[in-house]
Amino acid sequence: MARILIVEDDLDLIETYTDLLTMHGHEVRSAIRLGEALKALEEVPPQIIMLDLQLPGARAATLAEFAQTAKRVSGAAIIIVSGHPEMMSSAGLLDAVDLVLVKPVHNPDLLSFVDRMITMQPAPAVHQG
Amino acid sequence: MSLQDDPYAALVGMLRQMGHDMRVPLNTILSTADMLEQGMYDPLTPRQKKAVDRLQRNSQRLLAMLDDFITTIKANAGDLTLKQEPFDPRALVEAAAEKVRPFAADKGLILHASTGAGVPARLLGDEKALTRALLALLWNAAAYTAAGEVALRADWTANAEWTVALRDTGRGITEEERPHLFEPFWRGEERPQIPTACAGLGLPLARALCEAMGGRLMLETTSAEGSTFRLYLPLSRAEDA
Repeated sequence: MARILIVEDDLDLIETYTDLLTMHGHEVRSAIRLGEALKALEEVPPQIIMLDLQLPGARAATLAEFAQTAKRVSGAAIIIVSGHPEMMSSAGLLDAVDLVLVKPVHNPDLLSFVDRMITMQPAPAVHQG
Repeated sequence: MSLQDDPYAALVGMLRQMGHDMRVPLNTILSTADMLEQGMYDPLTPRQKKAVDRLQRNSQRLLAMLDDFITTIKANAGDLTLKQEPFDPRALVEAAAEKVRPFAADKGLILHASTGAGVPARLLGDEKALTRALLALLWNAAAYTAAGEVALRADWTANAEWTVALRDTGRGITEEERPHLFEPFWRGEERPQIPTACAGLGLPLARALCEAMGGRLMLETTSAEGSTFRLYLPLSRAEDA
């Protein structure tokens, strides 16, 4: 079981990931803005953060700063989940990110990566869904 | 780029953005359908399971269409990131044929795949893009051939090019149809039953990928007995690199 924080602005997708992950025994919280996410990770430090690249009002530099802070505060593994993986290069996030998943992410893949993340710290990689 | 400055570039940019944005609702649909199918909410009746299968199949089809569409736009814009890695060209041809064989067999078609002895054991290129180009051609040929066979044949030319011919026993391509062959979404009058993995962008996608890799794809011959498409790709031998 892992504590997972989903940072995503699409409410339907949050609900979907939450259903999937909770039904597999994980504890899930969510935030639709980075400010909310920072508060959430201080309250209950997650082991994994699933971070969307396109959040309202969040520029590339803000995302990179959030990822670095989140890593420092919680030590969580960070998974970028995005429909725009090419934005990674401009976001300058690579140093703080453990894995990049391209939407749509297949359920078995997501569950398997989450399991792997809580047992090891893999090198940064990009997985095309 | 604004619509006023360069309407074409602006439109292409918008289409690319839309293509990426569509991945989010598709993620929700596919994941939810998968959970339904697994009985994670409640067990399904056989009729409900059939309906969910339909949802999954068509969501996958939409995703394939989206991927082909975005790749075609990117390839045409010279914006595709291509790898240069060693690959086994024989295995690539066989694997591509293997993917389409069940669909061809269902239609009663025989699908042959072969590689000439002159083709080097290892070549350098983007295996994923090459596979995608071959698959686009194969799905297209299998979808449009009513009876007979589809044959994929790879060779090595005197100019050190990897060439692949795809021959089918379809009804041929008419004079009127030829100018439209490589137009996106053009399917001719017949509009065959397209398999799930075939998005309707077969030939334009295959050509865009070949050209992005420095090659070319053309209709070589066509008659009432069938057609042959051929691609040429200037690939290096892996051991020469």
